[in-house]
Amino acid sequence: MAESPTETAAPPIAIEAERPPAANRKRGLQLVVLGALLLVAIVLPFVLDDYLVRVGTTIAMLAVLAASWNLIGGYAGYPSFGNAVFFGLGAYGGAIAMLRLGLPFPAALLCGGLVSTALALLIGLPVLRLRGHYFAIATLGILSAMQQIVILGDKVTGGGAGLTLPLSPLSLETFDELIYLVMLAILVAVVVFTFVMARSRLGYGLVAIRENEVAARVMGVNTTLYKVTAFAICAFFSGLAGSTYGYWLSALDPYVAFDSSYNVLLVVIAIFGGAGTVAGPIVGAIILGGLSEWLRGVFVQYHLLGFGIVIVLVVIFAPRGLVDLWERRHNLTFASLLENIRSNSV
Amino acid sequence: MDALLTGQNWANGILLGSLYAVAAVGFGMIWGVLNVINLAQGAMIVAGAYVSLVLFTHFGIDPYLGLPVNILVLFVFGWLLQRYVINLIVRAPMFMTLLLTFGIDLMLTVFFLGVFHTDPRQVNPTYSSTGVHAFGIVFPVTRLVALVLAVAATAFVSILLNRTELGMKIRATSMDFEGAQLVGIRIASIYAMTFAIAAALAGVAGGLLSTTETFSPADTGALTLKSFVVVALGGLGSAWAALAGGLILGLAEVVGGAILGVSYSNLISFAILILILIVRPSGLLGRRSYAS
Repeated sequence: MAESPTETAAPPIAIEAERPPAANRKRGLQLVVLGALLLVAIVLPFVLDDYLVRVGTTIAMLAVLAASWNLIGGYAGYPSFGNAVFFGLGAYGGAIAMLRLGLPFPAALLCGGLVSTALALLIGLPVLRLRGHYFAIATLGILSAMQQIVILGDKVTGGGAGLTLPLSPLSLETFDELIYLVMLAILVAVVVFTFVMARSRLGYGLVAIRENEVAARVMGVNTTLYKVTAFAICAFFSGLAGSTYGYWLSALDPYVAFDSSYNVLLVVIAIFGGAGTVAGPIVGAIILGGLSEWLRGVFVQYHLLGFGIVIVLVVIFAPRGLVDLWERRHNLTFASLLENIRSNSV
Repeated sequence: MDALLTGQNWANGILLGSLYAVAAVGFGMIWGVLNVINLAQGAMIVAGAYVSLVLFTHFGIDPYLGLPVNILVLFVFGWLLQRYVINLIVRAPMFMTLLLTFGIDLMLTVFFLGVFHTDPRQVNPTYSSTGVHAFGIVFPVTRLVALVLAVAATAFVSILLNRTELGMKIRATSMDFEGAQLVGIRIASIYAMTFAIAAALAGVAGGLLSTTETFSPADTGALTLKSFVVVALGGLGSAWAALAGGLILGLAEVVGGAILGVSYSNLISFAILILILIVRPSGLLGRRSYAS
């Protein structure tokens, strides 16, 4: 009853050309709805109070990180467990560019993204040769190693005590609104990129790698090039989000920037929403980000417990995510929720 | 380079390494037999340490005499966890079990935070600062006990797997899942037993850790990573491979830390992890599973 991975993985290319008028109308309607949502998202900070703008920024940031992870973890099937390294390095890259080189924020933002991309290119070749457990743990190890390097390199990074960034001359509220809009712009960029990529040679190549890497190589996909490209782009967007976050916090330390539980949060967000889909990470970020914010308000100390329970429930009952449940909503029964258990238990 | 030559550094490295070895033996068992990377390993070790702490501070029980309690508590916890939670999706793609055990790690950590708070703790019996002097080297008693128990635990796992009927069933299951089912092995309960034994070993590791190092809920992640390094270094070949991996890591951290500075010891272990994964993913002594 469930779609096999290959079915979801192979969007019908040929049908695109002879799309019936009804489908065209549906596509048009979707675009209008998306445009309206985006407009609302842009206007929102000028209507809401400052606290909600901050929550919105956090959710947009989680969405960027989950959507970036989705490129390598969801599409290429290389589940990185250390993506926060790109986030943290972006934050440090941006901060150091502002502090030591005196660059303005837009240039520092770009620096953050590029530093992360450079790391992804450097480690991509050796690490992307590993599969399964080994890849996941290697990325986790790189995250921890980078945290140690930042702690030890205190001449440049400020060590364990961290860095203090220059404060923005803007008023606090305007600054929060600005950061929100920057985060939103990065989110739109990564989503548009994912949408276009999923329908391009790169996207099909990555999905082919996920389904069967050897077969993909036999069919002429340059697997190394595709994987490293996806990894680098994932790092770039995560780095942008990181340097925006650093500027927003205006104080950075290695424990915040390279937090390994944060790093799993964004994987859970992507899987909860639906890995390997365009909308999944955003849906996941809005629901889990909102939930986590609410839990934090209600149970200060135990909000991580709720997060742990969500992880366990998602993995057991909805490992393909909400987007998959939504697509199957017309024949969704209680039994189909147990299907994962039936096929994977002993 | 003097650091390479002092016997004390080598002794410290071996003693630390034996602790890592106990911490990782169970991790390697779960990986080899269930094909699960147990990210809750560090949390189970810390759980063992807290069991010792509670026994010592509330009941005045010596941490070594209390080890059977550690074993019992963690054995039951591990059996229930595997039988009723992880077994549900144990054959799903490995990333799912990785996430699942991470969720469990998170819940355990929150539990420790709630009950014991963030303060680093240590169990300090009267003999904890005494040491044995030999060859101009000091061997702290607690670390010597850890070394002896590490060898004992390794021997126990090795005998269990190679000389008992349960061990035969465990090895059969890890070699050929369907073949084992065909000859009537109940996979679900073998998996639960394997995980329970590994959890009990983590409980012992926690008890030993509680007397030699300070521990806090924040340590779970690093302990899990180190267990992984040890098993990746030694390979999944046998319990003795984990012991070898532990000793190598301990020596590298202590001797390397003496050369570069103590603050580098964590970086050294992560660097070893990444190097090993890239150069020789099956480990130094590794075979593919416990099928030996």
